[in-house]
Amino acid sequence: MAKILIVDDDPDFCEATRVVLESAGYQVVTAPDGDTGLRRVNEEQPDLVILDIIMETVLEGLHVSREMANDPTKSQIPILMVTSIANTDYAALFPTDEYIHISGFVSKPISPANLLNRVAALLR
Amino acid sequence: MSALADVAISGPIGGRAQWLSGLRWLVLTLIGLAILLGNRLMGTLLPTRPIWAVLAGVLLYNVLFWWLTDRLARRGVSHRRLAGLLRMQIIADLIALTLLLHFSGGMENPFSLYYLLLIVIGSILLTRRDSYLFALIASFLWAGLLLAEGTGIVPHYNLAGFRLPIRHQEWNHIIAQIVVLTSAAFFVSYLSSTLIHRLRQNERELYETNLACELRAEELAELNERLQNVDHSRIMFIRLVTHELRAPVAAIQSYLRLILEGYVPAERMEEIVTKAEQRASDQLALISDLLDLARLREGQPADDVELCDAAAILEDVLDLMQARIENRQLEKHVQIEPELPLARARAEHVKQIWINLISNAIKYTPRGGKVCVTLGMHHDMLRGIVRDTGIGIAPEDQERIFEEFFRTERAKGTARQGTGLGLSIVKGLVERYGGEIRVESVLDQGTTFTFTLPTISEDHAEPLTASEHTASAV
Repeated sequence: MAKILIVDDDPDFCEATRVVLESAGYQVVTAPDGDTGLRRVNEEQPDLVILDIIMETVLEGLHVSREMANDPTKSQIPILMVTSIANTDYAALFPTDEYIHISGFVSKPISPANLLNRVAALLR
Repeated sequence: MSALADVAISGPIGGRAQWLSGLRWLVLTLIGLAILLGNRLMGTLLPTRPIWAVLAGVLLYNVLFWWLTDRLARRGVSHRRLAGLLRMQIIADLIALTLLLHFSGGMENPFSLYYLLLIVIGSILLTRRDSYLFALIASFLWAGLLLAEGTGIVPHYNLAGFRLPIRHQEWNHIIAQIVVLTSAAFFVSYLSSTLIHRLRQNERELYETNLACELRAEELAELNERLQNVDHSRIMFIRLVTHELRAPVAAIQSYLRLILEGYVPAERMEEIVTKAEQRASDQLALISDLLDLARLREGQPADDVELCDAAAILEDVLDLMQARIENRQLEKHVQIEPELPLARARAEHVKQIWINLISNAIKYTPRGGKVCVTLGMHHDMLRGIVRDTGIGIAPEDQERIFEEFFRTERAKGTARQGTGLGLSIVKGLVERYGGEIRVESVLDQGTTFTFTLPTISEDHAEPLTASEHTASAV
């Protein structure tokens, strides 16, 4: 079964997402920040990364996605980005002028069925 | 006239001298032309050669004065010396006019009126005293000329056909001329210097008013900018609080959905519900922080004086923070003086002060940095010091960090979480008990917060002295 890495600084979001994904039989690993996330990508070789855009620094998630895109061993791993960004004051900080290396968006709070559909589609 | 006055009054004195030189070129040209034209029309009435000689003299000193003024102004000599030069020019002009009048008919020449013109120019360019000086000199020169010509000490050049040749020797006429010119000269110098004086005064007042208006406008612009900043901070605060309040609700909602939709296996149910409950507690804590702050802002007095052990509270807080300190690989130094007296403050408030200061130190110090916490006595007060080797606070921000909602750009760049309330709460609490809080910081080197609290032993508070404070922060 596929292995999924969740990178998010909110431990409850990690936990809730883990419960949903494990119920569908996925193997789940988590990381609380971008640096750890990148390290886990190396160690765990996940099939999919679920990434929060805003962690400790505003654009930490974007940094992770950029690093992964620039590394040929990781650029094939699909990224599902999670955010409530559209509703927050960070929207203005979000770069609109560059290509974002992600495969899709889901927003918080997560809908379990929707999340599983998106994950299944990306792993297919 | 207004153009002349503009140049004469507002320009620097060097500019006035240049203006006078320019005017002199014009007059020289006009006199030259008049002589050429007069000679052609009326035949050679006058001794042309001496007149040309006088004009050449004027030309020479005009060049000389122009060059001198330029040089002196460039060297930046005093206003007084430039004014002296200007005074000499006017006197030279008066003498040149007298010579020209002498060679062109003396008393018979109606151009003697030009003495008055020179006096007016002198009043415009210089002070009232100078104006009277010019009137005096003009009167002397004119009287001298008429008397010399009348008595035959110098020859008289008659404007043949224009005036009777004997008139210059009629004494009543000579005296009348002298009296008329003298009185006119002083009258003109009085009038013109008074007018100019008023004009300059008005101009100065106008200038000062303008200056005051500009300053006021700057102040208003600054005030407006500050108001906008405050407004902006409040809007950002509301957004941040909204964000902070949303995150736990979103997490709780996620858990509840999982439970409702049957994703949570029975054996994990209790664990998940506990997590949701914990998150709800965090939310409540944040809300009560906000309420605390609101209450502090209302300035309620510390009516319920309690005692607590600040050292024990500090140790509890450090235990609480231990995981975060290790997580960021920070070096921790703690120094607590033994047998400290109890603090005269509520335990929860002292705890909050320690938590806010220490968690800031952890949050804004890069991995591998140091966090040092000291608690001791300073005069009759307990003194706590929290020092880090973090990102630091720019001098211009140091005054503002205790303002509600204020966060430095660097703080925002370093850590997303933060309402800009922590330090406002700390300051509010410390001051509520009669203590003080100070910050010292150097960008990229670190920040030191020092606060004092009253103890059980003493009621009065000693202020932190600058030298001791600095020594403690090194």
